[in-house]
Amino acid sequence: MRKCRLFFEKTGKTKYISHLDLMRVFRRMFNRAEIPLKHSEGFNPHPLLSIVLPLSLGQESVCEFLDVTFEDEVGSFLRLPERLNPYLPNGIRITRAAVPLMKPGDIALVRSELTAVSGAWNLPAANITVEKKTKSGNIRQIEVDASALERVGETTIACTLPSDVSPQLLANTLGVEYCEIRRAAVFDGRGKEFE
Amino acid sequence: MWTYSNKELTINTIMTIEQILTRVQKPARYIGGEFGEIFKPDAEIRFALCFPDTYEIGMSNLGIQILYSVLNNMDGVSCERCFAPWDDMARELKSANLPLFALESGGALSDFDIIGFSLGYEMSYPAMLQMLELANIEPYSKNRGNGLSPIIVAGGACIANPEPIAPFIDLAVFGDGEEAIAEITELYRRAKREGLSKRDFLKLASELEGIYAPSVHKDCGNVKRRIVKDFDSSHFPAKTIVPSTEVVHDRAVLEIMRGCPNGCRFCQACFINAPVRYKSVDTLVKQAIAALKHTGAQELNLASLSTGDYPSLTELIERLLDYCEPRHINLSLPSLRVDSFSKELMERVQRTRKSGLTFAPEAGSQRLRDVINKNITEDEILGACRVAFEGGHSSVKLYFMIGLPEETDEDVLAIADLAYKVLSVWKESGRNKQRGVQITVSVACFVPKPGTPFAKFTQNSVAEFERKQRMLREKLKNKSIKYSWHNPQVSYVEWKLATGGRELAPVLLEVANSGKALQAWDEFFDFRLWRDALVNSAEWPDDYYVPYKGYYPSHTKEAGGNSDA
Repeated sequence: MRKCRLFFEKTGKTKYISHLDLMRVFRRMFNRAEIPLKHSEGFNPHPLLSIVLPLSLGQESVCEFLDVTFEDEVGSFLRLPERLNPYLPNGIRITRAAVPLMKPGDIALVRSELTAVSGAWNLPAANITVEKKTKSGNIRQIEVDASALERVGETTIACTLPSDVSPQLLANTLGVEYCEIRRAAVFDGRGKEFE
Repeated sequence: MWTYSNKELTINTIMTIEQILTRVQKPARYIGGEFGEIFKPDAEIRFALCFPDTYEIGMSNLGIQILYSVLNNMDGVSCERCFAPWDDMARELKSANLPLFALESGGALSDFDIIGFSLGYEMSYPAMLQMLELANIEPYSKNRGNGLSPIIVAGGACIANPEPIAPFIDLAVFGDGEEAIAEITELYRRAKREGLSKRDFLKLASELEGIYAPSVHKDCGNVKRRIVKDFDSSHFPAKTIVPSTEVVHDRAVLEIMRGCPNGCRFCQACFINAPVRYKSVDTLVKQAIAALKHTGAQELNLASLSTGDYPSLTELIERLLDYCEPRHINLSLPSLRVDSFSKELMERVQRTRKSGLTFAPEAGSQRLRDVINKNITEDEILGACRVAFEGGHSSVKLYFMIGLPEETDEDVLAIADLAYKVLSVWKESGRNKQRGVQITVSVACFVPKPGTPFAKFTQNSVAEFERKQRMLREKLKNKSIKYSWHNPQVSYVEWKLATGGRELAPVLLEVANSGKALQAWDEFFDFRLWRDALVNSAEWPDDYYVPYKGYYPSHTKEAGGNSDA
């Protein structure tokens, strides 16, 4: 198989590396490890790699996905993390490599952990409405079920939101001024973990 | 969580930095932790390598990578980096009362033993002073006391005339820095162990070759320029830091030679980097492969002042392409002299990718090109363009200067004539007529620089530059020709800073404190700011014509090329 999904973490200071910069980091990683990627055809060929669900700048994650197509056979996928990790900056770490089982479009829900740094969580008893500005400038109202929120620590809550709703919006709605956000898990529409 | 390993940072400081980083533009500039970063938390000597411009510019600078590598290769020495913050970050640091910090440890700049600034462009002086201010370091060296640290040392092209910044620095390195900086650091280690005072240390340091100590020497007139003699085996940083974020030049750099054989009279780089030294093809191929393997870069740049003059260029390119082509790596060459530009060379580089071509005739007329010692003929310029167009290129860039010594209006208009001649060459030889052609005519304002034969030439006034620019604009109205020009006000300030003396120090400080310290950037450059500061220090003559006041190291004249202009 030449198509591969790499599962990776992006924590610590690397949360300030933007999506486009992260693509560059991974391209360089494959170059250094001398594992060539397949290139697109055309006038200006580019390597085939994509990050499945780009993370907002400033958020950490322990479940990111990078889809790549290799130029040649690369041997066992099991060995890929140890072959690639030496070529990454501290904070970005590949945990697993496998054949993709689901399509990126299958992603429906994202579980995140929010740790309040200033302010405190007051979890609502009933459902709440989160407002999101769409690209066309309209306001979209999204109802969040109270059961999607749970307290997991003194200053930390976990929430499971549709994948197109930023957890930052929830924090704003709940009136927490500044919190750290960490993506914890990604699911398809039936609640099965994305893989 | 933040992974700074410096124990001095309290949790509150870390939280404040984190919150600031979520608000500023391009936070990746301030986090460090890139692939190839070196951090030695327990080192005896801490050196902060500072660059008074943004991360993106500084990390593209080969000198910074060389010095970082040289210093971190020394036992017990830790070199960390610090760049000028963008104005949003500078404001945030000030309002949070956080000191400017180095990227590796997050430690405050003021805690370092030695603070080194790389100064390649005079317009970045205010940014250097702002960095000191943000680090709560007293800018004037005489006010910093006689404790040994921090020692502030500067190096780079600007040291051809260090006088405007002399009141702020303890030491300046004149010439090649990679050996001198190690000697200074070693000497500092001795001074620290023996408990020497700053005065004693500076006295010892002032005896090293190429080192200027403003508090010891009367002026920089007798300082001998430092030259790396064995360039082939000089330190090559194979394991460079690879930025995670996009920088100006995202590529591996191979310095194939230092110095330039051409001796163009206006060119400071030629005189302050003399003599010409080459690395051997074998060394370069070995270094290129090491750098490409380490960085994973997709582009390899053959850097030098005049790459076309490298004696075995064809052999070098041939051997590098053997490695690069199968790996989709592009070779890039900086602007070439037209007389060294052959069809053969172009085809070799093109095997990977067709990039834009840049030629620098510098002056429009043959007479003026002879005055400045730019020994290329019009036939050679047009011939090079013909080769480019026949090879399928549909754009060329031509670099010129106005305000050169002995220039007449005819010489200025000859720039336009030359552009139209290039256009006719395309009409005869261009391969794809429907696609059209783009001839970019970029015209800079000549800044007489110290160390060159033209150092004492009085620059054209701003008004005179503007008149010449208007003249050219009228003549260059053509859809195939793109005319761009430099702001003569910037060039004027650049000239003052390049040729001025210590009287400019308060001017620099005033501009640095204006909130617009990044004067090298168009969005911050403010001529009124400079004018007001110059007026305040009585350095503003009514007619813009200031007498030459620099104190240049006298021996730069004999450094290379013709100096009898």
